[in-house]
Amino acid sequence: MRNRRPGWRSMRVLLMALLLAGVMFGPGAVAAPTVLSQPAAALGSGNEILVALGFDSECAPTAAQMQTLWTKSPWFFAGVYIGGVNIGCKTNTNLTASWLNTVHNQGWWFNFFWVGDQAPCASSIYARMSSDQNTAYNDGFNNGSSSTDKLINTLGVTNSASGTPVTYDMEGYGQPSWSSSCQLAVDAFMRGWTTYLHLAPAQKSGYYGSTCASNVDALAGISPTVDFIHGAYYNNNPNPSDMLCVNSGHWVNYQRLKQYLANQSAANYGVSNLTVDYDCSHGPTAPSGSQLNANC
Amino acid sequence: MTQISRWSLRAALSLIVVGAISGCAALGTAPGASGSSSGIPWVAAPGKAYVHPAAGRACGAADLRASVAGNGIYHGQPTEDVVFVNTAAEACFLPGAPSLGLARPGQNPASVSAGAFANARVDLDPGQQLETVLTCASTGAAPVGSRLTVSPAGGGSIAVDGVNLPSDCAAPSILVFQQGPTAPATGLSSLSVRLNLPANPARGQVMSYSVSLVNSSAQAISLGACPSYTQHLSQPQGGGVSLTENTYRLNCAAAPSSVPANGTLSFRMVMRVPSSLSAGPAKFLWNLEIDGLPASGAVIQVA
Repeated sequence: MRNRRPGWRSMRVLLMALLLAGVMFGPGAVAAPTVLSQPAAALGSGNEILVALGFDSECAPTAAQMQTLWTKSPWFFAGVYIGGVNIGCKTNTNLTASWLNTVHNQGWWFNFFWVGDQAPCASSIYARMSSDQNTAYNDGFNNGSSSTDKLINTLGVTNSASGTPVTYDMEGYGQPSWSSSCQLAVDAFMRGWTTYLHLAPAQKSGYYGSTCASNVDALAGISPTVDFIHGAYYNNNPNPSDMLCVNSGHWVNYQRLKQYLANQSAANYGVSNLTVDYDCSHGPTAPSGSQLNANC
Repeated sequence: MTQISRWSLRAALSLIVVGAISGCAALGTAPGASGSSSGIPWVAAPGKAYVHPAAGRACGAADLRASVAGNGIYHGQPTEDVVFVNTAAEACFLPGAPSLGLARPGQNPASVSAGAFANARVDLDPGQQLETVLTCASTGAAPVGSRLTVSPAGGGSIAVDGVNLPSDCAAPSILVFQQGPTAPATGLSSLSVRLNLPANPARGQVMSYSVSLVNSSAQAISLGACPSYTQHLSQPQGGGVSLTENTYRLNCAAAPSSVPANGTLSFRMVMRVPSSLSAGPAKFLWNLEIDGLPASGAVIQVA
């Protein structure tokens, strides 16, 4: 040891520094993989109060299109038509549990629409609910059952928690008087729908339709009524408080979404073969999360 | 202290600094950087965006099988869903919605308007589906069985019977012209992506974050020729969208050659948050530039 050359101590420092730099920053230090403890989960249940722009389209876009729209559009949520006897997009080939997870992992929130039986006074070319109130109530109850079954058993939305919003799509049927047999049947139907959705684990019941022709405001008077509304009123004003034929005092506690423009091309946002409707949410979207306020 | 020892000490200090810079400091913690991360260091290697190979020929009638899926309602009007499948062994494309003719009993044939889809090109891989939803204006007349004649750009025509639209169906048009999913992802494309983002990155500063490539399969997945990736940050602004995108290559020189079975590889990342953004929510997305574009995104609150 006494015969070491001058600078040996410094050389030792140099070697230690080299070793330290290699350990801290070299490939070996970062190569060690971590092992996963569990597979990716299904789309969670529950809801988040979202104040943001969104869109809906009759058929689910491809995952690649959704990715483009996430980066190039102002939209944070997507309206997805999941089923029902009158759904227009029958095959909806992109809509699977895997698609929901992939798209949610891109960042999206969702509205789920169910297009079941229509009003008894709607066109006879559609499947319609009974005009008998008791039967209509059961029709609504059964549609609630079918929609949650689709969400849980086909689309893999976790059923261990409550609060997933599901919206009933009732297309315009005119604006009959509130005491007409048609309106009373719709009221009974929606009571059945909401009653089913509120069974444990209770989900959020919604109603979509033309703010006037689907007589949205009439539902404020039924019990149980829906938890939120999604009104179609095409005046190019996103604000959900601006809904013709809906009393401004109804569904005011983050309980409104609005479809404010219909049949628009998504080409401006990078997807050329997609027609969408523009929406604004001041209400619940799936799945759960912390409240997002992105303005609309 | 001798001359050599002074040199050695200087060299040692220099190496420590170089190691620190190459490891993270200069790239990951530039002045004002926010967030923390761990993993393989970031490297500023320019990347290349993935472009899916375009089909080489137009679809003809012989390539397509058509079926009627059923009718429904949308925006208060009747719909009919017709699904096409590319039955050829190779990809083909439709340069836009094909010419469609609707023949109803006792009425003159009507052409179906392609509307916004006249020039919307769709490529179809072998076995891939194309969903086409037709609609029209109706006052509620009963549906009648009609024949749809499809004339794709690649030649020939397909007769599709059993299309049920109302007898008073006026101005028929295409409402949906939507391709279905491609074949399930394999290899690199089957990786999933997880992000670890800072909650409140600041405008005008460098955001540090990490990305984990997750392999849920029982086989290691090779990084191959070292894939590129793109990071996107967008924010709705004034009726439009402010979008920043950067494409780089992964730091494969510092990484193992593969993602282990049932494991992950984590990479440190950096991105400058444009000072032009407003304080508030912004949409972030990170994707690999490979087939399928595996990705992960989230909303971040810009400070």
